[in-house]
Amino acid sequence: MSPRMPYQCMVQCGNLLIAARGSSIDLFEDSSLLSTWKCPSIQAVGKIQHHIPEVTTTLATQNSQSSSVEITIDSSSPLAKKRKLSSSDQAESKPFLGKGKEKQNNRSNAVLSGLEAPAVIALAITTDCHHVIAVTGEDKSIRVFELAQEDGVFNLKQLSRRAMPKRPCALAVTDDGSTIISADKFGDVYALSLIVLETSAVLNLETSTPEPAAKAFMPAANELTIHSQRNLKALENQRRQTNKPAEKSEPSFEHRLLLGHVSMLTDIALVELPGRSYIITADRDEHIRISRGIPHTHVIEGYCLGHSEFVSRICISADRPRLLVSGGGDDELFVWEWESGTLISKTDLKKHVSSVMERFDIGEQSDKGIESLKIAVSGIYFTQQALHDRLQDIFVITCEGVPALFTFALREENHLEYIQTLKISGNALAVIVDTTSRRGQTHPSNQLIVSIDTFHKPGSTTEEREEAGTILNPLHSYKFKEGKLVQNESFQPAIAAPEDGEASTSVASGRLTNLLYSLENLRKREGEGQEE
Amino acid sequence: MVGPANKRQKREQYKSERGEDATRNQELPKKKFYRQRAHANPFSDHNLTYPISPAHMDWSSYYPAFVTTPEENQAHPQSDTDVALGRVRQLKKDVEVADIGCGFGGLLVAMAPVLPDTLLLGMEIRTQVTEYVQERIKALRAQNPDTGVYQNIGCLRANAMKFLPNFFKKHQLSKIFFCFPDPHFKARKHKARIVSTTLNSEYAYVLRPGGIVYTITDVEDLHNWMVSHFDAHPSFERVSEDEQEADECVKIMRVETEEGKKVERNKGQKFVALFRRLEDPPW
Ligand SMILES: C[S@@+](CC[C@H](N)C(=O)[O-])C[C@H]1O[C@@H](n2cnc3c(N)ncnc32)[C@H](O)[C@@H]1O
Repeated sequence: MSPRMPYQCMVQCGNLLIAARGSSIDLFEDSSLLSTWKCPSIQAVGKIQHHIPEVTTTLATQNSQSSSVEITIDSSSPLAKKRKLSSSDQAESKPFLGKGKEKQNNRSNAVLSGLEAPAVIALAITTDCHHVIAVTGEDKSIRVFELAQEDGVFNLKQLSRRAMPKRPCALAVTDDGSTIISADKFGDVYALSLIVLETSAVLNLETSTPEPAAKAFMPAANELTIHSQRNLKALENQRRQTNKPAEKSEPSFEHRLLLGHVSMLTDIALVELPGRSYIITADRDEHIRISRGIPHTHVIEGYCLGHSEFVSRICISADRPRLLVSGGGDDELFVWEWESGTLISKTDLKKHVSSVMERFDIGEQSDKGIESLKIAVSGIYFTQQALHDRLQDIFVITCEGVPALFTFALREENHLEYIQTLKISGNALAVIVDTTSRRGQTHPSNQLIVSIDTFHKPGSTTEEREEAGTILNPLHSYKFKEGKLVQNESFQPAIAAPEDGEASTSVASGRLTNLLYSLENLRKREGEGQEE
Repeated sequence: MVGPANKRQKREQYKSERGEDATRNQELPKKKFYRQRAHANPFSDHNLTYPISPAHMDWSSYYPAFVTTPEENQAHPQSDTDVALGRVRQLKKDVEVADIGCGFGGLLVAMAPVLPDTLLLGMEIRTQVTEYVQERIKALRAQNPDTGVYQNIGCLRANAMKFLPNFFKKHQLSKIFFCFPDPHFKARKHKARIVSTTLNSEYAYVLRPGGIVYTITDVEDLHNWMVSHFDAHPSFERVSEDEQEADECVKIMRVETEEGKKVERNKGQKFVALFRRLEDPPW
């Protein structure tokens, strides 16, 4: 039996847990699995495919009602089986290659050719818990689901799929739940309305960019307007290309460009201070940018500059919203007074990660010793817990490929104090910190749910586990006791048994590594992009 | 092919001879030894060096004549970053004018005597071209040891589309020049254009309210593009034609840039547009 797919991202609302594995999203209530939504493969989305007629209804972005057909309640439903069947049929034939010269690796080829469904790479939920938003990576889509109750059972009903110009990397939803903010791989941040309005298909194209929607491909200049040699050459080249198909047109739904970096965005946070709202964005080029919130997102208020490697996560202290904790490829966690861009303190994280990783044979890195260990912060989560008889602001940290949780307290003098390293049985992938009050309850629970990598060996991002035959539980729960995390043994999520070959059919192992561990790739390498 | 290897050898020989022979320090560098493929990809990493933040930038080697004396240092307490970096050398003033994609430096050299008390910086992504401008400034300074002219210009290698806020604080600049920027005709490459809705926000950040953006190009379509993008940006307004033509920098920009001269020789058109940085809206 193959190991089951681990959960790469999760969101939660009260006692509902929404967790994505590969291209599926599981919905749990307390610890029982209610339903599963499966993302159709791209071919099934685009074209009619006779094997799976049920899934072929076009996911018109304009029509919010007709596109809720992709749900399969249980993973062994005939629908799922049929999809597999068609997948293996396809495997025989030559995979169709991505069009154009855009280089495609095997994994996106498999996805683009419909062999595999696109994977869920980000999740968000509205504060009222009525809607869940997911990003599927290979088709660059933002999908909005209604968290609907049918016969007393919650399930995810897809309302819309919107294909974005570039792949979204991070999501946020405004407090009023009306607007999705999406930060993408090319550095742009867009606002989309949560609900796709019927009229927007007609009224669309309301982008704030003055560029006209891509028209017929026309050279943008003529000889009269061009005088330098290099410009002339460029024009000639362009003419030669005139017969090629036109550039991809702008999406046909309403999306507003709010701001942009010339860099890959990694995280986004929306912050409200009295009378002022902000958007904070983090990028691969070590920047944390502070912009005004909607409608003045063109005003950059400042930057938090101090990282010397990529920034991958930013987290606002809900208790002291003027403070921001950031982490990425550097050895330390940074605390900022972000309105003024002042770096308040740096706290060593690497030494705590090193003492966990020492126990593992960390592949190539091991010969160079633990000193050469590189860390990539994959999660920073805020919670408040009682410690020494008072409520403390606590940050829970995870790092890519590291089987542990690290906790730090944000002290009064605004520096982070190390509390604990909690070793766990697999690499930490995603964490849910229960800060929202449960329905009908006022005080936050002190529970933490952690998704671990059940596929790779603890401490490795590439090597598969050897424990064949055992089904590891991908979700674990911990509780704070006196400010320290302890395992919550009573949490035993009822998880469907993996189907045969699940991991290999739904996501090939190379693709899984890419899906779960993409941050370290953001590190700049010496000599890369060197000019001749 | 013997070409490239031979060329590189000659280049290196030329540069090392120039460097070693002190009697040649007034000799202007020869462009042919600093040529480089025209287009550099603004999205790749390029092994660039840049300060972590403006406070981390050591400008002293770029503007040695503007470095403060120890007494002046006493008067101005050091910033925390200076202390942390163990640095004492500061400049008497901040850079105020940036020439983005300065190429071979024609604008800087022509502007140096016109704005003698202002520090001007050329930013150029191509290594060889940057080196040429640096050598050119060195030679010009050596030729004018007594007048102090050309002490106020400097050039460094930078990708201005990514790292402007690493070099300049909020509202530090009073003028930004975009002279004959690369046109990137293809629609697919428009994101590579140095003027865009989102980049204009960064220019607004480093530019003080009232500061001016200068643009000039021989490509009408690019001119229209720049005008529409600055016009559409709430932080900028177009400067009137009268005011534009009265600005001495506009004349210099038309005739002293290397590209401007080329267009002149070919009897081509030049399109100029200036934009004023507005105050940010109240909260
Ligand atoms: C056509 S040349 C114009 C040179 C000069 N301004 C003139 O008018 O003679 C454009 C210059 O911009 C530089 N450049 C392009 N992108 C840049 C970037 N992102 N940062 C800095 N320089 C850039 C190019 O290397 C090139 O030298």
